[in-house]
Amino acid sequence: MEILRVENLAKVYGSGETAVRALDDVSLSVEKGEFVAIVGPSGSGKSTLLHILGGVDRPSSGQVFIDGIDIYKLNETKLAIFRRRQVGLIYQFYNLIPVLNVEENITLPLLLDERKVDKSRLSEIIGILGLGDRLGYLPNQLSGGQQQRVSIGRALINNPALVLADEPTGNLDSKNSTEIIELLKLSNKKYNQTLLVITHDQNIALQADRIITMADGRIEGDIRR
Amino acid sequence: MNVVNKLTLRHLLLNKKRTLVTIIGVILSVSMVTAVTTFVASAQDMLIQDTINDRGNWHAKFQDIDAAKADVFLESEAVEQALFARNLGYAELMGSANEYKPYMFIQEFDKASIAELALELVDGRLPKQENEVVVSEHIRYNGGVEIKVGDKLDLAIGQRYSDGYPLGQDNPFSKADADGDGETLQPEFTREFTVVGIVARPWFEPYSAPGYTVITCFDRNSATTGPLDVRVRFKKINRSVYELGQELAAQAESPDYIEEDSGVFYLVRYNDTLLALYGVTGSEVFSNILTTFALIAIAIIMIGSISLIYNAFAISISERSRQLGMLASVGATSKQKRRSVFFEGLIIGLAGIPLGVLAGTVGMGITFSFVGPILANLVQSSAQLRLIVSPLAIVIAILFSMLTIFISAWIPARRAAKIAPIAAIRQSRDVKLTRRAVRTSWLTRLLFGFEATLALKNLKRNRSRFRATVVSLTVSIVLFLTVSAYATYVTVGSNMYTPGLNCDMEIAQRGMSKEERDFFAQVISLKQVEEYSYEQSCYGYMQVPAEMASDFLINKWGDPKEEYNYYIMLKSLDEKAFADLARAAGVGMDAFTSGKPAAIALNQFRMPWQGGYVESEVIKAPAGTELTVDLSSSFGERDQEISFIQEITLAGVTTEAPMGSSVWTDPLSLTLFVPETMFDQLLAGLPDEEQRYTGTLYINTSEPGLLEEKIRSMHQCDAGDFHIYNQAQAAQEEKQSKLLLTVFITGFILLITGICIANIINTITTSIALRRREFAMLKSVGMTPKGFNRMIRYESVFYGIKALSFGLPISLGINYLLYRAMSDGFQFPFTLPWNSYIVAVVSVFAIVFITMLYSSLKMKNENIIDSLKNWSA
Repeated sequence: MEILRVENLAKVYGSGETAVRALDDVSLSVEKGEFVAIVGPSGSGKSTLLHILGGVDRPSSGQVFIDGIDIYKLNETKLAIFRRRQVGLIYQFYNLIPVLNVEENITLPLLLDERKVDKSRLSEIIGILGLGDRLGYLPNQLSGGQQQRVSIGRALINNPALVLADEPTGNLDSKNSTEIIELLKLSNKKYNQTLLVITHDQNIALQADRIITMADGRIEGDIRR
Repeated sequence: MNVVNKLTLRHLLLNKKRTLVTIIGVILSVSMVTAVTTFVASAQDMLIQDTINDRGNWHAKFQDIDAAKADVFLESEAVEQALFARNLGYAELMGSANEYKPYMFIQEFDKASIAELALELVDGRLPKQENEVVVSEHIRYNGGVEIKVGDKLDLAIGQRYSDGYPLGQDNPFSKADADGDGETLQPEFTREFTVVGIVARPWFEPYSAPGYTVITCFDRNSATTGPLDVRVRFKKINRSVYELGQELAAQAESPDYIEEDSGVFYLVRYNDTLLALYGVTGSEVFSNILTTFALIAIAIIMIGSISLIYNAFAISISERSRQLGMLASVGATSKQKRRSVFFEGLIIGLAGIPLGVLAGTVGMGITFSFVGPILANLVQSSAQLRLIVSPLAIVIAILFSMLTIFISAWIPARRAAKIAPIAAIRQSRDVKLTRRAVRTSWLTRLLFGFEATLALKNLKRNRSRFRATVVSLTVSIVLFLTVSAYATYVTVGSNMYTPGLNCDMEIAQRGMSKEERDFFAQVISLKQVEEYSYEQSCYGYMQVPAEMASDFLINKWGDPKEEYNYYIMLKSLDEKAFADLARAAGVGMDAFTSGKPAAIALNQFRMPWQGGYVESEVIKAPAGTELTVDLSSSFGERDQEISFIQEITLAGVTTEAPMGSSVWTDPLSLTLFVPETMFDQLLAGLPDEEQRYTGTLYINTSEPGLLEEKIRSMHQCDAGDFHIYNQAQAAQEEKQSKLLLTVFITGFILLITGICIANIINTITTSIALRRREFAMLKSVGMTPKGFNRMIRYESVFYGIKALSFGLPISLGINYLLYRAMSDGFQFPFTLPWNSYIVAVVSVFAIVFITMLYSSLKMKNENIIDSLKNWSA
């Protein structure tokens, strides 16, 4: 079943002589439950693609369908609601809210949605993430690896259609990196979660079902393993 | 410029908006301090003008200087101007109505004296030639002699002598006694003058002077004879004027000296009021009041502005902490880091102080142009409130502003010095955040939702910033409401006061004589008197036998006697008032028309007694009792033993005091009311000069100031038992001075509020700017624009609630204290300026909300990814 479809996506920064084409006519399709690694050199358009897929940046042209919905046809409010229900974003620098504790940061999308927290799902995720004894802590009281686990929890809590991770291990040591990737793979297997990960780490890329290589804003290679 | 300062400057330019708001805060603060110092300087100038207009523009006076020595004063380096005058002598004023003032006193002034000695021309012009004079209008009002402009005066001028000694204006007229011993006037020469002008009674004519002032002109150069009075104005006015005075007196061989052990001490007269205003003598009460007022105002301004400027620096430092940490890691010393904060202060000061001084001066100039006319009317003087740009005032304002900035920068500078290299490496600003600090109640979430919780946590994350904002808001609320309450009480107070007035002016004369009665008649005939009523009262004694005395007196007062000596006040009421009283006492008017003396007694007293009050009758006597009253009025200055016994029938009694009277506070005093005609009849038997009863004239007028002036100039000033109570004038002056005060205080509050608002804008915009990444993140996890707005709104509401929860109770308390202090004189119930309270509540929320909305508006439309990137870069 196709969960994500991108058609003729382009993103241009600036205009005229100084215009930079970050994405140049990108089209691709992702099946539900796929684990996709996106690789490529710096400036090849990986992050731009990911952000546009996540609904936080707007494309210059082209369309993005998630679960059959053309997300850039939605207005600002509907897009925000779509984001919190259907997309889980994981950043290199965690981006947690400093005044909220671990539990509140994880449940943030639900809180914004004014939905009741599914206690069993929360405790399951917390169990998988190994954050059971840290629930009341504020982000500044956690290590980098722990903070990234919180942000993974936040991405997964809503059981979104799409989990997008932008170099989730870029800021972590190898032991923490391995753990984080294992967690992502686990969620991919256990919840049949669709997962797109940008990475520079060859080892991580090799664990994915599919590797997309980008260069100069285009897809250069797309290998299913 | 070194690299640290360069970076600081760049940081300031980068944060243009905040720098600008801080500079505006400094401008407001400096302009307020400048306004205060300028106001003091201008008020001082006005008082000086006023004093000069009243008493002349001179500093020291030397009497009886030999004409040959006049050059001493003209040649002295220290003297700016010397004013010469010479006394010609006395001439008889034919037909003077005032037997204690039978002369004219002729003085010669040189041109400078005529110009500088505050002669107030009423009619005509000042004299220019030796045969021209101006005369005091007192001659007409008091002496009853009509001298008009253009009249010729042919005067036999000479000196007054008593026992062979010459007398001056300081010696009152000594009337010939029974033996014929008194002063005499010995004419020495005659001169002819033309009257060219009439002047008001001059300030230099002593109170009990025997001669009315007449002034002519003389040329000092041709006057080689006679002792001169010399007044001088010094170039430099400081404490040295006293030594200079002695030196000049010695050089001019002043005959006016006393010998002391330490040497000769010359008696020089100084214009003390004027010198005090120049600050030469420090004891003047008014300058103390001005200084105190200025210091309090400056202290409030400094508190307000320090909270603003400190906040601005603190924010700047916390933002620059990474930059400073980076500098520290490459070897910047603590001193360099500390200096960078003071450098920031210097830049802010350089921009803000000159503009502030300018704004304050211009602002005061504009204020004066509005307030000046009110004030001129209020003080009824020709002095004007003009803008004085005094270098001293500006220097003081600049010094205070520099001090303010320095104090504000002190703590941030110390903090900057302590910033360690690690600050550059740390990612998070909220290192010190604890769980307890951001704990919120589940109730908040239940009641207001998640956005409200987030808003509350955001406020709590930076306690000091939150507190600074709340304090700023609270101070503004309290100041605003206090001033509003003050204005309300002033208005309510004067409204209470004005209808209570039963007349505009009251003239009382103790010891009425025929002259006084004539004078009263003269007053009544003035065209300014629109309505009047006349009341008379006199005092006497009555021997009251024990059986007629009150029970209280006999049983409780102690010291029982056979007979008590009662103090009696006999009071006349006009026809209508008396008829009202008679009705209240249940007495028919027939009792008073029979020709036999009859009176109504106010038979009640009320006095403190054994911790409480006792209220009782004064005498036990039925209507028809004959009262034997001694109306000899033997009280006051002249203690003469005369009896003047009158039999008065007690027509009735009352326990309620009619208007204008009150019950006595002792059991031995009784007031008897009689109709006017009966009062005259009762006293008719007394010789005129013994009729020393008190006459009171109640007047209604629409020109109280002018009327008072007229009455005063008409009245013979040496009678001490004469009083004018100008209630209308007093009420009007009070109202105007309160208005004036309200204008100044309101301006003050507006500016203080301006500083507070600048502070709030600074704090809120910065805290929003710092949370850019968080906003982006919240949006990236799906916070809707609506949710975002809700969060911002809740933050505003919480700021407002917190500020109001402090501000309103404090204001209420202060309002109540103010009410207690101000309701002293009048009785009015405690009220609050409700409109102002509503305005305060609404504006607090509005200010906070608009500021927050404004600063977050930009962010809302910002690209999420850009914001997120900016942070990690």
